[in-house]
Amino acid sequence: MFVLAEMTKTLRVPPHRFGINLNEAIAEDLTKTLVGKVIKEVGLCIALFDITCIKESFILPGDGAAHTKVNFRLVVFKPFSEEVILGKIKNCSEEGVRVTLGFFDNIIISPESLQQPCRYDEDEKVWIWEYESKDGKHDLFMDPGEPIRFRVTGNKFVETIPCDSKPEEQESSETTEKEKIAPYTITASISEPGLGLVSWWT
Amino acid sequence: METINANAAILSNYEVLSLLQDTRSKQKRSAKSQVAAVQFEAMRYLQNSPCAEQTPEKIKQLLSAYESFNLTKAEKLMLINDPPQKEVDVHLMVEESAERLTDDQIQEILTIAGNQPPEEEIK
Repeated sequence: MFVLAEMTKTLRVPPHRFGINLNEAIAEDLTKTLVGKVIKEVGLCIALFDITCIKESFILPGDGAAHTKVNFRLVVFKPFSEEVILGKIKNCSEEGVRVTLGFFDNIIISPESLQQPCRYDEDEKVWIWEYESKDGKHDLFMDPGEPIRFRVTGNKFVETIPCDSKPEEQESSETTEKEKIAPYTITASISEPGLGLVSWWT
Repeated sequence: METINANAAILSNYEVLSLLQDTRSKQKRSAKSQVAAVQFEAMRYLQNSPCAEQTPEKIKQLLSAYESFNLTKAEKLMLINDPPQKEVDVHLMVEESAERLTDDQIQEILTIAGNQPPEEEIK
């Protein structure tokens, strides 16, 4: 679920922070700016693991702050493909089932990746697995809040910084919509025995 | 900011939990700075998972016990993060388990995964 990512960044330490130990100032700044953010193709940053290298600090003309290049490692949430994880159902919609881990809730199981055959109940807003056994058909509901085990099938990162899309004017109307798109989505599947609601397999 | 290596190492849930607990206790001592929501939520998720009761020694024991099954690193990581309780769980975590593991070996994995905590308590 979690990996270490090595990163490098040039940090600006403003003069009023010169009194603090440089290590602490850097660690604080990195934590403040990065924790909780999604880094494209890297994952969701959970914490600063350590600082591996602090290079010389530079002062640039016109700015009293010190600029320091640092190498550091972050703990990021980025499950590997095929990883089996336990989460909770957040909600169901026509697009599939959304799963939450508490700190991350952009895990989507599309209708094709659910246990088959299944159907969506408009009124109750739940997906139902029509499980067939020897003694007939059983409707297994996927209610929100239920613990669910799923397999990660893909990690998708989307650039969310609203940039003025000059190349294609047609897209400008879509940018407002695009801003709402989550920067990081995990696609998952439960179409295997053992996957799905934990209560199904006990 | 540049990425040097997006996947330098894989961490087990236990390692992340102990790191988060460490940073929180440090923060409490120093400033009033608040724990970020992600860290709080991640900690809550991990505390409710099996890794909350793990220790470095237990993980080492598990790893050496799994040594003989020829599992990949990722498979062993899953077995540690989310210890299997039933045969079907082992099949999920170990790819092509039907060919790679015999029924006896699966049972053995289940005993290793399941019986570890009680055994510890007796000691």
